[in-house]
Amino acid sequence: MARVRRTKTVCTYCGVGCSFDIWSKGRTILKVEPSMEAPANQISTCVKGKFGWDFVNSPERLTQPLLRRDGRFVPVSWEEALAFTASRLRKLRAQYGPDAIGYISSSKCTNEENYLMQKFARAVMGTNNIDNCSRYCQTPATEGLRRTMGYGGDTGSIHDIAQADLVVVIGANPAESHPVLSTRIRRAHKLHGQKLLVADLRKHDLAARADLWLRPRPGTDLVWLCAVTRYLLEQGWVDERFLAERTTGLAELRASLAPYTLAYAEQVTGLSRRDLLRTAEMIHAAKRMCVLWAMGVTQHRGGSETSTAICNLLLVTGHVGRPGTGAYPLRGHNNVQGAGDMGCAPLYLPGYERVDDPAVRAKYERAWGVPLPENPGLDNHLMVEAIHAGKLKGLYIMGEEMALVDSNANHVQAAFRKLDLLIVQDVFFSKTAQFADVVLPACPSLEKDGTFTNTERRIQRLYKVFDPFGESRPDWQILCDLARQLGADWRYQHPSDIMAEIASLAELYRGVRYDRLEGYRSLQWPVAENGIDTPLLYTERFPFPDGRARLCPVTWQPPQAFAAEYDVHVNNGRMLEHFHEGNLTYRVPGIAAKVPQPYVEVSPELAAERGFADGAKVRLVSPFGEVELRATVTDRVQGNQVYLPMNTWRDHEAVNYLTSSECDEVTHTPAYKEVAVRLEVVEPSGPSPVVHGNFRLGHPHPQRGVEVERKWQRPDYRPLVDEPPQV
Amino acid sequence: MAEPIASIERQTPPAAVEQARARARLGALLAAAEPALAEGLQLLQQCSEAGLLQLATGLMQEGEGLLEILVKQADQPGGAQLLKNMVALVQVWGQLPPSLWTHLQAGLEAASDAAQRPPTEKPGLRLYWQALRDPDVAAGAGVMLALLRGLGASVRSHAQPGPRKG
Repeated sequence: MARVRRTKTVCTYCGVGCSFDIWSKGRTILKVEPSMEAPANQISTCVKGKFGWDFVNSPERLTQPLLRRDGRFVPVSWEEALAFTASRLRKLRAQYGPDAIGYISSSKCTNEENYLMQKFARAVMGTNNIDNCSRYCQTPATEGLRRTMGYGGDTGSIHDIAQADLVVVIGANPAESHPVLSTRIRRAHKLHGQKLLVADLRKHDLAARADLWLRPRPGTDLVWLCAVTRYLLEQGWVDERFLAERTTGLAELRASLAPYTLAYAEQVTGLSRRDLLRTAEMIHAAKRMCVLWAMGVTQHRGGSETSTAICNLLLVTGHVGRPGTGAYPLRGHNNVQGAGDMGCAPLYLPGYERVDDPAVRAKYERAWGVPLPENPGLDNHLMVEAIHAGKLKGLYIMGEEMALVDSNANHVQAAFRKLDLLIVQDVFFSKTAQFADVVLPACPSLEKDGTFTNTERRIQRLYKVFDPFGESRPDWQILCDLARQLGADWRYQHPSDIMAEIASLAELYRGVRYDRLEGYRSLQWPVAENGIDTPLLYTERFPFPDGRARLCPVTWQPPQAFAAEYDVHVNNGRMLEHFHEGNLTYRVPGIAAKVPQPYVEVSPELAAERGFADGAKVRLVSPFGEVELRATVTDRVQGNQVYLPMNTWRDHEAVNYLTSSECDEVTHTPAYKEVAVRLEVVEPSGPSPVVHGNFRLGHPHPQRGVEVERKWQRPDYRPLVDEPPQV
Repeated sequence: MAEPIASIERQTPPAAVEQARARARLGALLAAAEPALAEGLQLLQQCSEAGLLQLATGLMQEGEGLLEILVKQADQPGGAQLLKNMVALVQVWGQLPPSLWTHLQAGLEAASDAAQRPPTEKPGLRLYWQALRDPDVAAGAGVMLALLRGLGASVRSHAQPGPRKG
């Protein structure tokens, strides 16, 4: 007889890393209960964390390995699937060399699984061609942080954001992408006098509440950031002592900022001089400032440069290394931070140690008992180009919907068609899996033990709630089975064994042990051997040889230009209810009922100009492809800017059929935000795609509680007492 | 080199395969619970030797009939009282020393034997007086008197005061 069980887990969706208890009986989830003990979220969750778990029991789950045979996918046993996979990998490596195969790890998988994937690529298969999906979003921010401050992670915690006097949000929509984190900002703003400055194209929740909302032209954030930094330096509104004692490169930075006058910034960004001055004044007035940013900054050709400009601003004003201050690139997935920490990158081993450093390589060779490849490998963007060039013959993708979430989807799918071998390991039969030669059924987070690292660098344990569904297996177990098929002596019995090995090698995780992460306990790296962690970075020094941060000159990379016919700019991003391409959330009936499909947001002025109304069906055509879906007319966007959520798995709606292969010059993060289309009206009107009850149809009027003073001031108010109330 | 295939075939394994998998899963469970199972088997063996399994089997075979009787009884006026009495009896049972049951059992066995044999003498006061001089009978009489004494004391302590005679 099934008993009611209560199991702690960490959310599989966004980078906030909410943790809660799952109450279950058999395979039924009775409820999700957050707790005050949860370090990132306390008793908060969002709609996905609270209700978004039905997918684990979906009849569409992959339950058996599949092999492509005679134009069909045929279920086979694990023995046959693993033997086939190992044999094909072996042959491909023998014929073309180890660098002819690439490996894509998953920011949805655990730290332990990410560690094994990069170990598989390097120690078993002999290549540094390993990457993960953080390349698509946060790598430019990591680059900016590593250049200037040293570590590629948020400098503090959500608690610091709530404590700040000023929060600056650039190119991010936390209310829909990091909902619980946004509640802390909204609470601080509403109740504790925190000032809010938002820079975004779109009128999202925080922009509507902001004390100052900047709406620059797309791709020009670096210009106004540099102009404001220059102005602050000119006025002496900087932390002179911090600059003198804790930074280097001020003279070079000053010189590089010379072109960024307020007039230049006005001209390029479209922002008024008044708003630029007000921005500088708000920053100057703040004793503690946090800057949060996300894909609106990073998913541009100059994403790394803009992220560096943000870090420069924080350093110049001394808002680093103190409570309530710092840099907060908001990690999108539950384990984007962890995937990077575990070395799933072509240039880095775990802990961000370089593969081309002989001493680092020697350490790992001793630990793993095999020689390791010396040269940096290909990132996922370069892998696609290498496939087209005939140099990459095989690809092993774990837990990523690369066919839809990489940019220029037609180009990526054409590359998949050319592969000699595609291995896909996933929970559902995704678009990517359609191109596979072998599909391995994997488990979601509720069916395994492990750890995730959230946007705060916080490492948390998740516990297994259910046994694997059907014949699916945890990703770490599949990797071990495959490695043994290929002759590796991997004997991990439990993810804790894997973490013990990680801790022995990666300095940032030195003191991480499962017993130190029991229950709701967590650790923020770097973690010393004695278990002391680091909630706030840079309190004493920066991890460079001289202990000082580096101010780095930046160069503005204008967004790509398009032919005149592509006169509509397509902004894109997330919706609250769904996550990424929706392979999980569209399989939750309650969530799918709330938002059954994505829709494009169009401004009233654009709709009037083109002659269509709310509910119209429109076709968006870019130089790279087209999509067709219904439109909603809203003032959340303005002019010729539209907004298209990325949350769909349907080919005719997926935004990446419109995006190009242009990317950030340094990190090769796709320039997803640099999209221009031609808008065609297919049907001028139709049923609204925003279903009744969607909160976006409402008109909230936030109140500061019961505003009794206003009642007292009414002319018809008759006090109940003789003394008039003191207001 | 592969074109996308948009659908998959889901196989329902034949019954024999499902059964084999079920046996494998059961085997794994049995192996994992081996110490507990070993103790459980010992307990079962002892219950069998004590005749308890046979008793339980009999009761179960009476099964519905027995349950129906119990349910009907409980449904009668006073049925609830019956159940309460049964509960109280079990509670008392649990508080009494095991040695008492040994003595009772011995007495019942002797009574049972005597009941099987026809009486050899005509009962009378002289026979009873001689019996009381038997140490075993004297000890048993003492227990019976103690029972009467305890029962009477409890009855008197719980008795309601009678009407005052005035």
